[in-house]
Amino acid sequence: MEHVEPILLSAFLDEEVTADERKQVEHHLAGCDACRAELQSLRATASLLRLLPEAPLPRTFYVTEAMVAPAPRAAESWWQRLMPRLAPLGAVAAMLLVLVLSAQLFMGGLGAPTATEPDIAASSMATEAPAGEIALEAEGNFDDASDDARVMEEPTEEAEDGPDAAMTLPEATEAAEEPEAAEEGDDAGNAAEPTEAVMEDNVLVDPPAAQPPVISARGNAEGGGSAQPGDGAAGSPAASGPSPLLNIATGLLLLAIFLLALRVLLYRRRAP
Amino acid sequence: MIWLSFFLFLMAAALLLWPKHVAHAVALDEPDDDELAHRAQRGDRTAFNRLVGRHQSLAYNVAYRTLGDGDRAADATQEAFLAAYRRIDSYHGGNFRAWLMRVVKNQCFDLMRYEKRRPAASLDAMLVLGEAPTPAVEHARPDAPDEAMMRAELASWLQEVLMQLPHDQRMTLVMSDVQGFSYEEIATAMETELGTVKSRLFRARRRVRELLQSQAELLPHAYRL
Repeated sequence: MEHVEPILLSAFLDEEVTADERKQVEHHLAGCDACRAELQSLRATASLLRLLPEAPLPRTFYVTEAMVAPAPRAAESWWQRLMPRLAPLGAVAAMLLVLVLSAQLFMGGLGAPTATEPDIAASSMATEAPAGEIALEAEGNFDDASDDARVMEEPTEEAEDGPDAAMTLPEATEAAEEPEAAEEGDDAGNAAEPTEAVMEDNVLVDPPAAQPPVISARGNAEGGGSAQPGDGAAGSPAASGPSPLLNIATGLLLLAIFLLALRVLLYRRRAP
Repeated sequence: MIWLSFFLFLMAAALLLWPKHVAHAVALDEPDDDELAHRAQRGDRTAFNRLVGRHQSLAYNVAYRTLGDGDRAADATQEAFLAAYRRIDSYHGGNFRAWLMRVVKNQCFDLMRYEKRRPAASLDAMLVLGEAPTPAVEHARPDAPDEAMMRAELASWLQEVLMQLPHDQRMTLVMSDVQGFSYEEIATAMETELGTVKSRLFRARRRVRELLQSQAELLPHAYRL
């Protein structure tokens, strides 16, 4: 006859068995003297241990104020010593990054604030250009307003690959090359000259007036957005670069990272 | 009179249906362990010390039966409560005493790692030292057997037997058969699975039985296995 596992008998003694196990053990015990003896022996052992008296307390164990003084810190590695100092720097850096990027996004959303008269004149010329082409500043205007944002009046197909308010200088540089490729497909006759214009010290050398305007990466990058909000809505949405929604999402993500860094910093200071 | 009767009827109904809530409302506000722990997590050391008052005897006894020494048990218990206070944020509700026992277990095991004094190698060695309780008791005044003295001697002997178990089996056995913890509480305290608790408990009981049976003649008749 197969006996009950002794471990199961021990658990049965403590009523720590399932209903099925209980039935199985009880059924077996009814006809097995050996298992009943084993169970009785285990019960006697457990009962004997319960005779151990409760030891009286030698003293109380309340936690006093003196006990909860901060424990001396164990030796820390160099990076563990450095991290607490880096945390506030990281928080400040994240905050500055958020502010700068938020400002850029904001400026890009509002559009280029300044448009000088020559800029407006250039824009007017651009409006006479074939539809879908972006207006450019004249070279002279460009020199005068080298750091100012240019006005983009009519977003064109080239603007799809053109600069965007949020574009950084490297990205703008790359984007400046893309309009060249786009223009080659659209206006083959004008493709060469814009290419040449872009290639000169990354500054657009304004071709003759008849020349269709192209977008300069440098000006757009510095201007922080030459597209007006209306332009983005009127023209192709892709012409204004990344969508405002993406900009907002990026800004929120950076803000969340900053807040998290701040929270960690405050928590570390508050923890005992 | 009718209104009074009606009011008394409502009170009786409330007591029958919601005795715990009524008792809680009527009696002095005695917060449970979770409430006190929650207050302690907010920095209320007085609330934590109320928990100490409730559980210090249990913690000390488990430590004492596990370590086998009163002074070490007191040190381990104090360190355990201090550690529990510092890590009170890691308690997420449920069973406070099981959580506390985990802290006690960690302190006891840490102490045992560093203890220099070895437990007695065998029961015979203790008997040679004249520590054997039962024979002396059995030869005491037969006309006036001292049950309490017999129990005290038996307790001392049982403690020596416990010290011969591996410390994980020992603490499992103490928590189960001496203090009455459930398997689930033991698993929480020992940070192990239920199956492991069952296995350890059975092996501990079997070993204790073997040791006691090997010295059966030293046990009073009433306690022989």
